[in-house]
Parts: sequence; C-alpha cells; structure tokens
Amino acid sequence: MTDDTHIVKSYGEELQFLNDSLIQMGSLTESLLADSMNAIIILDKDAVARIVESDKKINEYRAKIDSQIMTLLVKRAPMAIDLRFAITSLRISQDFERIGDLAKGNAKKMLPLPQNLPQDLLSSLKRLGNVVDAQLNKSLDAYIKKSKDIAIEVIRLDTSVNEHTFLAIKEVLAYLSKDPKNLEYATNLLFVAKNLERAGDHIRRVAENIYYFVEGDYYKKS
Amino acid sequence: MDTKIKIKSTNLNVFYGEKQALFDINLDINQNEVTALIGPSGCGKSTFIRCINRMNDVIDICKIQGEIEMDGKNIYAPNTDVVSLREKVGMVFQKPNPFPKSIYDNVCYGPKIHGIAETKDDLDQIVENSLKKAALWNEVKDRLQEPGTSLSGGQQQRLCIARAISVNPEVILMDEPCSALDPIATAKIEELIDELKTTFTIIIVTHSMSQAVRVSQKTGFFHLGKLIEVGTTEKIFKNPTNNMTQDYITGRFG
Ligand SMILES: Nc1ncnc2c1ncn2[C@@H]1O[C@H](COP(=O)(O)OP(=O)(O)O)[C@@H](O)[C@H]1O
Ligand SMILES: [Mg+2]
Repeated sequence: MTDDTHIVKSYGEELQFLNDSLIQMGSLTESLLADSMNAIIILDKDAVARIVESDKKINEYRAKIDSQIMTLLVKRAPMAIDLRFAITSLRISQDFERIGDLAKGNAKKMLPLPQNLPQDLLSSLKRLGNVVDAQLNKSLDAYIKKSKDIAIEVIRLDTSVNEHTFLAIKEVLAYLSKDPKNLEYATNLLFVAKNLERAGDHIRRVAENIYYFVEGDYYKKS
Repeated sequence: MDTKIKIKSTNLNVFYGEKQALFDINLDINQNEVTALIGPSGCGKSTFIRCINRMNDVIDICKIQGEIEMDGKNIYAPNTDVVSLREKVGMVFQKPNPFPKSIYDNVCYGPKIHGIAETKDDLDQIVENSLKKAALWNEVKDRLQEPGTSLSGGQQQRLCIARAISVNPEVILMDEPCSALDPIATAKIEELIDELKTTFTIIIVTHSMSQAVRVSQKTGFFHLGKLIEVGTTEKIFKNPTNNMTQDYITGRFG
C-alpha cells in the first residue's frame, strides 16, 4: 500500500489513510492489552478507568475505519489487491476491537481481587500475557510490512498461547484447591486466562487476514 | 455442463504494414460463455476480435499469421467461405449504428440478404424473435415501421443486437457496446448479454472493469499487443497472477 502509484492520486491517498488508521488502531490495542495485563499483575485498580477510556477510543477507530472502507468500496470499486486490502482491513479492525474488549474485561476482573495473590499464580498469568502481547506486536509488524512470513509466525504462536493458557489455568486451580474461599477470585482469574487465550485467537485471525491479503488465498497448515 | 472450446486462437500474429499489432496470441474462447477482453487503448483488443470474423480482410495492409479455429476448423484456411463465417459471427459496435431504415427493415435485412427467410411470414417471425431475444420487442412492437434512428441510444444498441441475432449466429462479438450508453441502458444490455450467452458464445471488449466482472466468466488482459494474462474473471479481478494485470485493473497504469 505504501507504493502509492495510483493514477488517481486521491485513491492512493485514501488507501494510505486507511492503512495508517489501522496501524494506529492496532498500536492503541497493543498498549491497551499491555496496560491491562500490567495492571492485573501489580493490582493497580486505578488503571481501570483509564483502560475503559482507551477501549472507547478503539471502538471509535473501528467505527471510523468502517466508514472509510464503506466509502472506498462505493467510490472506487476496488479490484484485486485493493479489494483484498479493503476487505481484510475491515476484518482486522473487528478483531482489534474484540481484543480491546477482552483487555478491558480483564482489567475489570481485578477489581475484587485481594493484594496477597501467590507469586507463582501471578507469574504464570504474566507469562501468558507476555506471549499474547508479543503475538499482537508481531501481527502489527506483519501488517505494517505486509509480510506473509511474519503472519505465519504469528499464526504458529497460537500453540504457545494455548500452552501458556493451560499452565496459567493449572496455577489458578492450584490456588483454588488451597482454600474454597478463593473461589470468587479464582473464577475471575480463570476468566483472565481464558480472555487472553481468546485474544490470541483474534490475533491469529488478524495474521490469517494479512496472509490472505498478501497471497490472495487462505493460509493452510502444512 | 462441460465447457467446449468454441474458438481457439493459436500463435496469432497480426501486422498493419510494418507495425505488429498482435504477438503470438493463444486464447481459447469457451462456448456459451462471455469472455471479456480488457486492456489499455491501442493494445489490440479490437484487432483481435476483428480477426474472428475476418473483418481485417478488408484492410489491405493487414497481414495475419497463425490460426484461429472455430469448432476445430481454421477460419483462415484457403477454402473458407467468408460470407458464411460472418453469418456465424455477428458483431455489435461501440456506437449503435442502425441503418437509416425502419426498425423492421433493420432486423430483416440480414435474413434477406443471406436468404434465410423465404416468405413475409418467415420474416415477420424472425423479426419478432430477434427483437424479443434482444429484449426490445415490447418497446417497439407497435412502431416497427418507424426509423431505427428514432429510438433512444440504448434501444438502438439493442436493435443492433437484434440485427446481429437475426441471422442465427453462433458467436457475437461486441466492441465496447455500452461506451456510448447511460447507466440504465448499460444495465439493460448487460442483463441481455447474460441471457444471450445461453444461446451464443460472446466476446466483449470493455473499458469498464466492473462490467467485465458483471458479464463475463473469463477475462483476458491485453497489453501492447500481447495477451498478458487470461483466466476466470473471478481470479483475474480478485487475485491476478501477473503484476501488469494487477496494476491495470487497480488503476496503477493506463
Ligand atoms: N486499420 C489500421 N491500420 C493501421 N493500424 C491500425 C489499424 N487498426 C488498428 N491499428 C493499430 O493497431 C494497434 C491496436 O489497435 P486496436 O486493435 O484498435 O486496439 P484497441 O481496440 O485495444 O484499442 C494500435 O496501435 C492501432 O494504432
Ligand atoms: Mg478498440
């Protein structure tokens, strides 16, 4: 998209603008996810309000990108790579929005948590969060570079996310088994782990769409 | 339904004097399909379709090498009957060009000169059928004696299609048939093309990408006299293989 060689200059600019909007939205999503994860680990309950605000901004991006794409479709009737760009950007912005929702949901889950959570539990959640963060970061990289190879790496990271989710859940269950009174906390922490796994699924979809954009065909596991 | 190749162009080279207009064109046209030809002006689209009914024969400086087969027979073989070839391959042009005659006479002209109809009743029947197939009958059935030129642009183009159909062709060539028409007239012609393909094999030259997508099953992209890429219309417009095709259909060069 960066090679703006369209004969109609404004068409090229519109594509570029869409590309930039999506990168901004992705960056915002990335910092929201990191922020929410960090807040959970250090139990910074004041962060929740800030995170809710960021999520609103992400939703606004989604609406803005929707309308940009709608306009592009009616105005330019894009073909081939431009068509794939419009369609995949639409899908990717939906996934970013969902990731934002999940990160916000996670932040809210910490509100009732006590200060004295076991270190093992926190660090397993933190590791999971880091893997998902890194995966999102890489997917943004793939989008910026329009790189199918980086997209494939992101898709493959899915296995790692699943493994870390499994380990985090194990820690949560161990914490629960120590004291039935931990039930409410443990339920919340289970949601945190599960939401991170789901965020990973959305990130994988982002990468699958980048792959489709580049190749014009869907990624198949080889 | 099995697709059958109706027309096969093999290593077709065309020259206008010293200047080569087409280079080694290998292209198969499927029967009962619409094939769209796209590409910048001057790339040889019209030259190519004019080879199919040997319209280029009338241009003295035009030399043709290679083969075009229709139903497996080379139409450039020495014993070819060009008159009957042109009966089988009708043509519709960019600008509607009805004869300065009545609507009725426009349609029955071909059948008359080709000796297809014997009686007035036969002619009436052909005129009615052709106008119906061209989706024009209802609009003109009460004014068949009025001049063809009294019709609107879109109606005139459908009249020209009726005229092409009237001699029972097998193939219809259309060279930018909608470029002089407004969007509604264009939509009617496009819908008509879709119906006509059940009876005929159609090749259409168009400058509108979206028209190619709407009407055709196969698309060929020409550039500077070469056929750069050919494939299903879906493939060409969603994910072409060749970068030049991509640049052209996305408006990156003209
Ligand atoms: N009758 C002719 N005499 C000489 N050159 C011609 C003639 N018709 C077409 N050409 C040349 O052949 C090339 C292809 O033209 P044409 O088939 O009309 O292209 P298109 O239909 O794709 O615009 C052009 O360079 C054009 O100038
Ligand atoms: Mg032409």
